[in-house]
Amino acid sequence: MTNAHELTSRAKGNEKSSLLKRVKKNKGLLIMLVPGLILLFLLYYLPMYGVILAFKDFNFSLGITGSKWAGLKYFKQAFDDKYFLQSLYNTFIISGLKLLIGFPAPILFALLLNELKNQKFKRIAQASSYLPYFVSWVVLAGIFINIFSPEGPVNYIRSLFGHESIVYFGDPKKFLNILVGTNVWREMGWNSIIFIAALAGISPQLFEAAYIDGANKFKQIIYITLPSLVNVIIIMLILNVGFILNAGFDQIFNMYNSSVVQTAEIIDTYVYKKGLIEFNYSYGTAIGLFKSVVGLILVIGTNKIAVWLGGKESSLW
Amino acid sequence: MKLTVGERIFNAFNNLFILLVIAVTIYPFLHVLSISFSTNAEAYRSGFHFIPIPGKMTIQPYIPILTSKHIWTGYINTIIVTFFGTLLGLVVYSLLAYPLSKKDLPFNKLVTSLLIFTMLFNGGLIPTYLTMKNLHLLNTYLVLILQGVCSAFNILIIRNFFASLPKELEESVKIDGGSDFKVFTSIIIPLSKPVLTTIGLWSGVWHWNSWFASMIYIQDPEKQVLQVILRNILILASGDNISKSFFKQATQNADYSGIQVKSALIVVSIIPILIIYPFIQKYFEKGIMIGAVKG
Repeated sequence: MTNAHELTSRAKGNEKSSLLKRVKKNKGLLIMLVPGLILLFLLYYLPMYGVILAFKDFNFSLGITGSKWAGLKYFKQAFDDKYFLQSLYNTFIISGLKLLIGFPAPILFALLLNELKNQKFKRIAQASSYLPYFVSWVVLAGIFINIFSPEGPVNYIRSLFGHESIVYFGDPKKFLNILVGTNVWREMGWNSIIFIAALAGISPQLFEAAYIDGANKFKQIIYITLPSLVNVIIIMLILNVGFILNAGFDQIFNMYNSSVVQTAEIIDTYVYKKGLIEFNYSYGTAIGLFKSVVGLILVIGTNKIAVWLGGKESSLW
Repeated sequence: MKLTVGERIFNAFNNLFILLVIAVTIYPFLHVLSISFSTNAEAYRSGFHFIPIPGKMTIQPYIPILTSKHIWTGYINTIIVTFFGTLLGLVVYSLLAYPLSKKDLPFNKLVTSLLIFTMLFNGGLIPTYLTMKNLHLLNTYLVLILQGVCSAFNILIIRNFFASLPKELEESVKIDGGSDFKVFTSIIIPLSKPVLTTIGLWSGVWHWNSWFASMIYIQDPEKQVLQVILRNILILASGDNISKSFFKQATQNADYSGIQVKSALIVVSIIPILIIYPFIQKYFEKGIMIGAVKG
């Protein structure tokens, strides 16, 4: 008994001294971590401490630490706030629509690009497809306000078919289509890169064998190409679901206006309004925290599913 | 391989379809470029605008922009923030990434977890804003330069690249009595130019396009970045004093009006990205590939 006890305590001592030894040995490397860790603490972990504001009545003169506790008051307020509930609903609708249209689009684009015979054309197509990804939503919003204006080309096409022109940015329903459409327009090319890479990894021998066996192009796509992509597709889909609460702040904030808030207000824009426009810091923090926590659970959950299905290399981290 | 009739038809339609996709992707940019060089009558003509039409062309809309003090201030501020933000980012990323690329480093798991956690959870808008305020960073360039300076994603990509470098090279320096920092500066950094260029371009474009931080942290118009000035003029349509004075000056000339000036402003703001785009485009593809490899 005593021996065993002695042994474990000695082992612990060894562990300690070996950690100390390892720290000494890696002193130079550990010092290199210091500037980054300080910044990480100041820029990320201090704000995380600030979320306690959600449980306090914020008072300007008392600051975050000094303000009085309010319990769950602001969370209760949120669930009685029909504008918050509407923004929660809108977030799911907008994200859901973006996923429904925006997820298959890059896969289809990658498949079609892969069938192009002219390599130069293929390269040009690919390179131009992700140009919009490098332009900010501020600028893109400015461009689209033009494109969808009453004199713009979209309404011009409508007029060619004898339709009345539509004020796209003033109609709550039409505006959702604009959000989804412009988002696909911006991100399809960029999101297709990972699928194009997966397609490039398929052995050409498989296609040759299928060709000899008499499989036409269409059958080759069904029986070879798609099954080879299935893993990537499933993993990407799951990860996308994990980020479903991010409905696209940059895009919506720059494109929406008071006549479409009813359908276009999302949690992120609502937090901005409540917090930084109306100075309701505690309430804004509470809604933001609600979103962050649900988002965290979703990401961890979907990541678990991804690892379970695709193995460790499918993990986000 | 001989093509069947069906395959020929498919190929023809496929080429056509991809061509259409390219057209739809590029057209909005051509549209604003064309409008920005158009006379009043041409700019307000309903329909498509592919290229500026000779005879209906003018460079007038660019004059108020190129002579506007505010636009120049914004441009210079954006360049300052982009340059120092990217530079500081690369230094901080590499300094964190190198020690973390050593599997046997004490506290490696802890620090990596702290980094990854920032990708999954954050304090949210208001606590972050109040923290910056308490740190007295409001209305400083520094708060903008610090945005993204601890990007976990970028750090992990660089870490994976460092970890893939051969160990023998490092040992040669260590045998000669060199410190870890010496290894880092004389071996690791020079060998990592491809990944550092990719990440550098990445954060450069990110800083160039970023607007939200500047909108909430900066009130001083002398320190405002281009994207926010753009936003005020393009989207809020002359809400603040800068935009008001800009528009008053810009639309004094009857030959052109708001829509051309706005388009010209868009062109001026994306020109730097368009110029370097063909060059950086291949780096970005590489970047996303490196990112797909995890360790």
